[in-house]
Amino acid sequence: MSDELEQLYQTTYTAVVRFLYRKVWDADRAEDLAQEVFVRALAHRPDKPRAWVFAVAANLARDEARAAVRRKRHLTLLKGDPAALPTVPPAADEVVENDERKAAVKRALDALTPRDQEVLLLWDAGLSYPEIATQTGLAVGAVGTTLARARRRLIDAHERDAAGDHAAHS
Amino acid sequence: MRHIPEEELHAYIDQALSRSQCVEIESHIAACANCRAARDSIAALRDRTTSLLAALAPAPRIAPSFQVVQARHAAATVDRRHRARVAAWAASIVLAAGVGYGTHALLDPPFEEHKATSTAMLPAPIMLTPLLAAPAAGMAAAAPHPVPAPFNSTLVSATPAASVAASASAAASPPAVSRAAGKHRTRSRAIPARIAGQDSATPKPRPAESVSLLAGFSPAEPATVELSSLGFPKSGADLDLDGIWRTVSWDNAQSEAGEQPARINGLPVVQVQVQQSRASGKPLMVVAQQLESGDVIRTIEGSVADVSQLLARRPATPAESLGRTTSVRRGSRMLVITGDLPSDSLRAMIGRLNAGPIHSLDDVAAPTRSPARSHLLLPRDRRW
Repeated sequence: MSDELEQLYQTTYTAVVRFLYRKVWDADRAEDLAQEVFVRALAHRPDKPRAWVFAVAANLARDEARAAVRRKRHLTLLKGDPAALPTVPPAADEVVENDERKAAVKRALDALTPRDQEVLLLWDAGLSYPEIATQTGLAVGAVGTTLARARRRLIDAHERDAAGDHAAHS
Repeated sequence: MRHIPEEELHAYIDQALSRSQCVEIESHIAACANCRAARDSIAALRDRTTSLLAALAPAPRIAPSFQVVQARHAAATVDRRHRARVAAWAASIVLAAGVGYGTHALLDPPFEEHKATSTAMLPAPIMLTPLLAAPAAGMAAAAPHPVPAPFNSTLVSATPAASVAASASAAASPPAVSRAAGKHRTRSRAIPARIAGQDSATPKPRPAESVSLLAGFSPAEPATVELSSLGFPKSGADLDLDGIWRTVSWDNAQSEAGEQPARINGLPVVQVQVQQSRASGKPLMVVAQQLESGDVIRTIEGSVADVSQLLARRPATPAESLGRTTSVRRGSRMLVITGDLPSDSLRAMIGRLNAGPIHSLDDVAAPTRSPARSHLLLPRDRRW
């Protein structure tokens, strides 16, 4: 079993980190939480580890967010906003461009309902429709519908945002 | 000619459809220019989404080796065991007071109609069970007095039938028990303080809404485990339960229960805890599951005696309550759903239990080896 988990770790670690990053917006935190997820997987030996791992990740991220709010550390979340964070020190204008793009996509993602966001991010993390269905409580058939809507809205929001930007700068 | 709906095309592109569905779609697309164009545009939409989302990623880093994870796991296990041991000592002092309090209700005469029931339900003599966790500290501070000696003798005389089961001084109780107990000679178990929904002159008056057994709903189909996801329950949720609990993996839970642990179909399992039952063979099992909203629901399954005891526990502060509760009987086993939800939501969940055939009220009333029918308490619409 440990072999299975190790293999899962190798194949999905990056996706888990990314999934978490999109919730906590802090690369270090995301890595730490991802580690924690796999530590727990070792403790619990779940039946369907792949889906399990993302469910746990979502829970941890949610707890994290709640704890932060409770302790009135709202600023931490804002500080983690990609628009403000240079992740590597490249050339100055490259930084700005990357972060702007990130911020724009983040804004577009925020335009979705939490349910649509969740389904979209789970799919992007590599989960199958049945896995997404169980995780979110949707019927399998509804996953397709939700993804269809989520994708459209993401693109639309992003395009509107970009258009707005151009209007402002022109 | 029916065109393919958008969501179906998304599912198709995502390879989420069955082979036969795909064949159907492909043959339609071959003949229909509209749907061909739709498919292409949806494929483009999906790719665009992927590339947008790709921007939302942290700087790529090399994953630490798996050994790091294993080491962390090993460290966490040691830590947890140590903490549990420390907590058990602190908590056993608390229980001394708690037990005394809990048994006051026992001394009140039960209502006539349920008299037989309450006697029959009384299990073995009271046994001190070590509690777990931080709330213990609060309780100890609040009620430091040792259990009054009179309670002991009164108890024995009130339940001559039950004291027969004196043999039940079962599981090892840690040395702390005898230390804290002081005046206690007997090992005792807290007897369910309320039976049959009546609320006689107990020290703390509580409105108890009795819920009769849910009769006549169809037995839940035994389901395979679709998802066994375990995360961490809401902070503090771990500490609600009396006694020594082991957190187990899903596999272990299945082998310990001898069957799949009772739980609600379709919700991710957050944690499974197990406690050896003093009375019967099968262990007491608690499965915590998480809703979309983040709320944790617990399904507790065990012998009637064990579960009643658990429910009778009084928390130290309102925060550590079991939330609302609803329950049902299956012969000599009892199933309880607890959670911070409205009672009727919890009741509805009973219908989604995977726990096999649920006896109706009539079944339970039929003569069987199990005790006579009784109405079980719950739910409470107020936190304990």
